[in-house]
Amino acid sequence: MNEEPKIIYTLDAVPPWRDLLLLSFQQMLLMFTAATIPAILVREIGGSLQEASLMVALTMIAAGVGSVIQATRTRWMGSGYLCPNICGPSYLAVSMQAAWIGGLPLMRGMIIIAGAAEMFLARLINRLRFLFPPVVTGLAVTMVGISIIPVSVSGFFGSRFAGDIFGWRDAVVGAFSLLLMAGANIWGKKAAKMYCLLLGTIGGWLLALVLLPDAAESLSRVGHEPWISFPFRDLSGFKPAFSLGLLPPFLIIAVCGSLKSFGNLIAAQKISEPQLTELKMKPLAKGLMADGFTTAMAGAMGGMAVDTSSSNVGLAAATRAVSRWIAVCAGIIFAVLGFSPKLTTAIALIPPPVVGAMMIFAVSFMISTGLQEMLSEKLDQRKIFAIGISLILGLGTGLVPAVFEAMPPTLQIFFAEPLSSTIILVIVLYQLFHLDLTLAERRKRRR
Amino acid sequence: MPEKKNSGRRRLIFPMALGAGGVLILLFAFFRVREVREDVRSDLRCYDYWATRRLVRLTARAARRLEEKGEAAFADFSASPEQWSVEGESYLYVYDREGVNLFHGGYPELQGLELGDLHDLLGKNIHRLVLDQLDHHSESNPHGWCHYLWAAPGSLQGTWKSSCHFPATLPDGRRVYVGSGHNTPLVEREFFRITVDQAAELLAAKGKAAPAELKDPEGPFAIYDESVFIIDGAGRAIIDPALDLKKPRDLFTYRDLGGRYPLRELAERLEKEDTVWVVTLNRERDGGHPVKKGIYGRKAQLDGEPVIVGALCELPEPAWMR
Repeated sequence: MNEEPKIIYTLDAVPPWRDLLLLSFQQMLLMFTAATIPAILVREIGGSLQEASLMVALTMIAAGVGSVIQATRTRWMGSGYLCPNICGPSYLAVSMQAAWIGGLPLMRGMIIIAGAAEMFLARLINRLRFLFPPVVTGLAVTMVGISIIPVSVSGFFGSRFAGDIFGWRDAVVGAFSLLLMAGANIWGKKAAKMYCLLLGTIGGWLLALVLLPDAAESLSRVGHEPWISFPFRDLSGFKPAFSLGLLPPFLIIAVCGSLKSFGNLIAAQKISEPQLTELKMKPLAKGLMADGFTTAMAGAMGGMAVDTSSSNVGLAAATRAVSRWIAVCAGIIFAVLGFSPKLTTAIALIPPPVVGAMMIFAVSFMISTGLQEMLSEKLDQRKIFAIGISLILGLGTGLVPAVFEAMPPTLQIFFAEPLSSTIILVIVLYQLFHLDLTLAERRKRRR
Repeated sequence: MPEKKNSGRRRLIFPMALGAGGVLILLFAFFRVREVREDVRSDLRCYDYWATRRLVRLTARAARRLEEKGEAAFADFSASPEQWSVEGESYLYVYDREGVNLFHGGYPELQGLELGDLHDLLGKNIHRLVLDQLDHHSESNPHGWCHYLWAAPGSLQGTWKSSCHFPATLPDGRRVYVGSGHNTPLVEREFFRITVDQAAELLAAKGKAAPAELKDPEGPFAIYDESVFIIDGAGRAIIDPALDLKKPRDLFTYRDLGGRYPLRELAERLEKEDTVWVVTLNRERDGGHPVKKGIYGRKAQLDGEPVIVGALCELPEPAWMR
């Protein structure tokens, strides 16, 4: 019989310095995979290179600080789990919309509002506990992992843009990195198992230097960047703006972001405290509060919205190193890197196939954790239909987008993309299909 | 005790071997990168697609190989075609200045033929286009890009193709050029930057005679079914970006699907900068899915009057955003 693998560094353990630094560095590398999203946003709205660099730096600082807040359990916020922050891809579409209409000040203002909405939801989460049975939370965690598939798979095959030619060499580099990571995790002893991501990244990067000319040449860019840059030089463009018209999409994304973070925090709780038989709501609520606060803080600072990272939680599960101090250290490193364009550029040059391999490796654990949770209870027809219909329609938004694009705008908000659609649907359908049982239970209690 | 010493040494062998391997690989990468000239390498950042960068790199390397080995380089190109192609989606060709094909990696039957009069589907003389770019526009177009509409197999309306070119002087003194292009076009924003910059040069050189040349489908300014536009200071189209209208329209009043006035924004930003990129969300003629486009514009002079020259192009979309 397979035993649950032993945790190497538990939640409260402080790893020795060498392990702490290496594990934090490994987590930070994975946080970096989302660091280019602000640059993509600025490029999409026609901004300059300087604006893109500034946005990346500010978002990194916010994410780093947010990771520290999340990991440290204070009275008001912070789950205390290893659940770092990254730039949230779920906010990209609405942020672009806001930036398009009213420039970056409008985007910032609306992100502050979304963060405040997340903090408000965090206060309600305890009362809404009945909405999140294992089937729902398991599906949410699974969908969070599935939402990473497009960016991880396209990176794995070296495809940055739609229409890119398929590169055999990129696929070989990606496959080599992934196999090295997985192999080290499966068959490696203590150090190889713990640093499997780092091993795969370095091995894949070295192979990329041989096979991919871009990988070698791009290293020369590091020399042109300064060591230190202070991103808060010019604060004149930081005044946020607001728009009532953008409130609905941002609120929907705030709800979806909260649900996503909820899924991540649940996964982090399960990995860090496997002895628990049911959800411990207080740290989850404080985790959501920290998540909302960090989102609002990122907007106020001038960066993009940040979110908890599914792949980092997955990495913690893979390495069995779940100490919160790893997240604290990783957050500090990440925030400090925001002040160093040279170091940021160096890390940003990790070849896309290696980045894709990192994400696939980490997200494998996320998806499996979610499936395990979802199937931990016996499935009856009510649960089967709640899961099945939500999955089919939710994933349908990604598989047949043309159908959903033809919907009226008010409906489109709810069917914008697979993650939010599936989560909203499963919550609604679960309650609907259990309505008779819920009412019967209430009548029984009244008697 | 000796056992402990031995096991300690043995533990060091693996990390040292890894370290030595890593250093060797870094050295290999360093020397490989230096095979391509510094000026070519530094220009490659203007391209969005990695396949374009790889294409330019290998074409530049082919030019260098020709200068070193002359016609003996053709044997290298034939012996390992995969080294001179981007994932099998491109091939090299070499022409002399009279239009005689000296080497063709895609259609070897063309070797030795005089193809200086070859025209594309729009009537562009490709050979003359290449020579003009290499001889007169090396500054604005350092990698010799040329675009033509060719009768690709299975395509009724033709397919655009873009090829880069590099000049080379063989050891025997003959001047040739080597070129290569992807079979499936990858449309770079840089192509439109080059076209607009050259259009501005033409306006400065030829004044009012320039617009007719800019609209000529046989010329170098019609690429990927887009054309260069010219707007005067009041926003009136001298050459419209979309339609060939008898009455010029006021393009500053054009509002895109995002609620922005992109051409007005272009003009405002050009008051402070020489060249500008603006992004616009456009509803296409078929009324279908909105398309995000880039507009590159720059200031120019038309017979002493300030105008804006620009072009629209589709923007590369991140693969994971579809």
